[in-house]
Amino acid sequence: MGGVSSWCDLLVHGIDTVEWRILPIVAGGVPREPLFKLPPHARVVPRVEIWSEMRVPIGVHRLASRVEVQTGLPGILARELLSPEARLGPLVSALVSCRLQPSSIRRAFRSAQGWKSFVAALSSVMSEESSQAGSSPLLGALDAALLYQMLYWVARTAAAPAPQVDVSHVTAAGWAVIPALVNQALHGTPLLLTEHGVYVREAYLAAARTPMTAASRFIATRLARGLTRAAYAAADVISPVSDANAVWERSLGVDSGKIEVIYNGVRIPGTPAPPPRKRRVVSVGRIDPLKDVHTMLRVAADVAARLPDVEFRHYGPVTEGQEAYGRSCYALLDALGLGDRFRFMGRTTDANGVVRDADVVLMTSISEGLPLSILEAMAQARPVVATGVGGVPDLVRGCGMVAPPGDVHALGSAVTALLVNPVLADRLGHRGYARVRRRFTEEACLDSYRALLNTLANPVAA
Amino acid sequence: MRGPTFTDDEAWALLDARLGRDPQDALEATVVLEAWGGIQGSEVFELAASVVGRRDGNVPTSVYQRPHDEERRNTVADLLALLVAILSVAAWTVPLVHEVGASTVNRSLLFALPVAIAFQWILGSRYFSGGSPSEALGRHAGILVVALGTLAALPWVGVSLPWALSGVFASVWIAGTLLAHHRLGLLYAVVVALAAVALHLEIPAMLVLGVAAGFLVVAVFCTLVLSRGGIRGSLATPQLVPAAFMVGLAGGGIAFSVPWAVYAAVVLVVVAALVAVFADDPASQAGLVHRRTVVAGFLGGGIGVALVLDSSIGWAIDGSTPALALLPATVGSFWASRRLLSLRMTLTAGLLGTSLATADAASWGNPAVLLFRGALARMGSATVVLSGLLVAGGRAGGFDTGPVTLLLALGLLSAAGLLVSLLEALGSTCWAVLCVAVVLGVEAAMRWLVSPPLFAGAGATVGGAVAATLAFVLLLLRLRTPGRLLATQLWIR
Repeated sequence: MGGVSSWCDLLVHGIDTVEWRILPIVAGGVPREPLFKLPPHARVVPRVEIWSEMRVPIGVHRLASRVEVQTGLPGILARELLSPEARLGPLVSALVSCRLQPSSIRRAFRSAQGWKSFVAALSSVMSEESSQAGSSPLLGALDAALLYQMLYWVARTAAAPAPQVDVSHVTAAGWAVIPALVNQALHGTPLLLTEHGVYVREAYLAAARTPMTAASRFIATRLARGLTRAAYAAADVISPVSDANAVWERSLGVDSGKIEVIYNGVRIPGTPAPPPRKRRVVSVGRIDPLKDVHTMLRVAADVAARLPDVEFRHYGPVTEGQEAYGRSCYALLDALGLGDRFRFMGRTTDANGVVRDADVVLMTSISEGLPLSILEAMAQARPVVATGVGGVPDLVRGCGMVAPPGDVHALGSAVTALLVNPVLADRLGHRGYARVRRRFTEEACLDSYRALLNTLANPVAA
Repeated sequence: MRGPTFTDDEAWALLDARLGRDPQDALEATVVLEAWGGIQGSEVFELAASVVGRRDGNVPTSVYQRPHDEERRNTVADLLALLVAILSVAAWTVPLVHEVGASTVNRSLLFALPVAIAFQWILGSRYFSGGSPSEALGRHAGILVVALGTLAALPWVGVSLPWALSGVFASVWIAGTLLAHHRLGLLYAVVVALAAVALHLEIPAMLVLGVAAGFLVVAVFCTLVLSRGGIRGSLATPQLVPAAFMVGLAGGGIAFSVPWAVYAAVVLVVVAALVAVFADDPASQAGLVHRRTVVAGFLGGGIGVALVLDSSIGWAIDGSTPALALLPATVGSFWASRRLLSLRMTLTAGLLGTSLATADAASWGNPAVLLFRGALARMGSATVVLSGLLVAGGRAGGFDTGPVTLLLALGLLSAAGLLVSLLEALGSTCWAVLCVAVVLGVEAAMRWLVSPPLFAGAGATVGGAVAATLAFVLLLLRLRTPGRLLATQLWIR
């Protein structure tokens, strides 16, 4: 289970004064089993599938039986999502028209005029100069066709009938914000955006890591920037889970007055159990390039060279779509000759239990918000060794050790130091426990969201 | 901790090491310096802006990889199976006519041809394109086999002879399509050839054909279930409900043994099969797929009706002649369709590296047009050469190959069918439907307005020519703008 889905579960179960309507936006064609059981006051509404053959529900078709085909729609979306000078108003108007006239979308995108408007808009965007944008790559006809398809799915996502609610709480500044933008424009629904990882940052990281053409990279990151820009401009409140995310949001132009940091929270056990003293290092997280499992394996090799009796346990599944990365991790494990000293344990439903069985908890991510796995480790009074990304340095400062991302030697030395010095490890662990009790409790987290949702839903009373 | 500090040069070195190229923009530099340099807070934004701002960025160029060609199936085996099947079915006609009469065989073909071709187009649209056809076919194995089995069982339950023969013909041809798709075309050809031999040995026709159809239905079931990895789930409830419904109705119609009930039962078989196919698709909730499937069924059925609507083509009355005359056109069409399989790849490859300015440019010499021309040349040349060989062979061997106009009529209808299928594949379903409507309209008009017919196959010739010309022009107009075609027609379905 990922941190964001665990956070969703916490909110939905913990705030029972709210009737939750959950709108999943998923990539099409892949059946998924729900990870969590929903309480009676929560309901999943029909999902939005992108890159699938799902049609817009028939009821909406009937409402819009007489529609005018907006052949300029692809051009508007291209300009207002990709241009550095994009404006929120025209973008939202275009998205609203998609919701009101869903059956016109396909016709618009299949029309010659739609394609011409898109090519003209894209050519214009590519000729724009921006001081921060660097040199735009040369986009080809095939790249344009790929982008055209992406914009079609943006329009289809806008057309999906999102439920009419009192507050739209969006969990990322990307595709999820599209239905909320339309609801805000049509019904005045306030928009609350919570960013766990900064969406545009993670989009850039993915583009930097993945072998792709300059044009494809440009398209992916520009589209992510466009969606993020719209989300930031439209959100009534942005509630990042860490101060580090807030720095990013301010740097990307968000007004500080809009930002209200709400830290993640975890359940605190009464008295922490003593560590097992087995030189066991545990990590919890998906097997994903963002978690930099390769570095984790190399850290394990570095530590094992000094402490042959060390054992590393990694809990978490391979991220869907990252199977090749998963295979590369297993290959590296073999190549490093770690044997049983490092084991991939698979998915766990008892994150607290597995970190309780650790002497040290390790995290090597290159991107994080405020990771629940570290909070859970601190709640069990376990010392943490982590990379200094996102909100981690502020969280771990004084109760763990932080090293630069990818710094195998620094991370390995920190793990070794804590394993050979249990007194220091205990002291850091208990300081972490005290900090979590003070600032990162489940109750504090839920109270903050409850108050914020009430304020947004009832602005006059507030 | 605020992380380490870097000079501009150190930061640039880190960016170069991590990316192996210049950063796309300041934000990418920020992300890389933070993620792999460990620089935190607002400092990383300032450093990235400084580093990127000082550099004169080169315009990044994209290096493209040519897309892989789609899987090429075993063309020779498929073609061989097709040839054997057509020749064998042609060989069935004479003993069948001898045993049950030309009128009966003719009436059965009038129904069987459109139904079988409609089913074949439905299978092609619903299952033979897209991601995992075997899996989707396996999911619907139950209903497909019940539908085929119901058709094949008609001879055993006392329906009138033309209907019984219709059911057998349709089930055999549909089963052949499914088996050929699973690379079992040779098995199909062997069964059909053995049936032809048995018929010539004067074993009772309905027994021979019923056994052949039954064997093929069982083979289809085994193939579909095995290709999915097991029987479990292939007879799941959503498929069983309409299957039970249609079997019940078919049984009722048979019990009363009245023509309208049988007719209704056979229609219900088709409808129930369609309902079952549409009712369950957990992977994609495929509304548009359903619509396309219905349209494909209509188009295939329309082409089938066009084959039998021209009363001057006596499918059984003229012995095996029409079936033999279909051979050159079918082979030509088959060969051309193989060429067109790579259209999507050709379009994509042709656009690689072309500039945005050419995205909407029209060209009569682009790779897609060239491919299309090549496919038409294949079809035309194969049809003409094989027609010539057939006529020459007929004269040398002393058997009747019918008038040349019959070959022309069937060639044009076949060409119209191929071009209509390409229009449908490109997403121009309305135009495809129009072309089929034109064929049927012209043929119907010729049938009732021009009597007696000007020559054998006159209606089919004129209808096929008009529709093929219309479809040809429409296709050329689309193919001359490959960028637009790919973006607006192929990728927006």
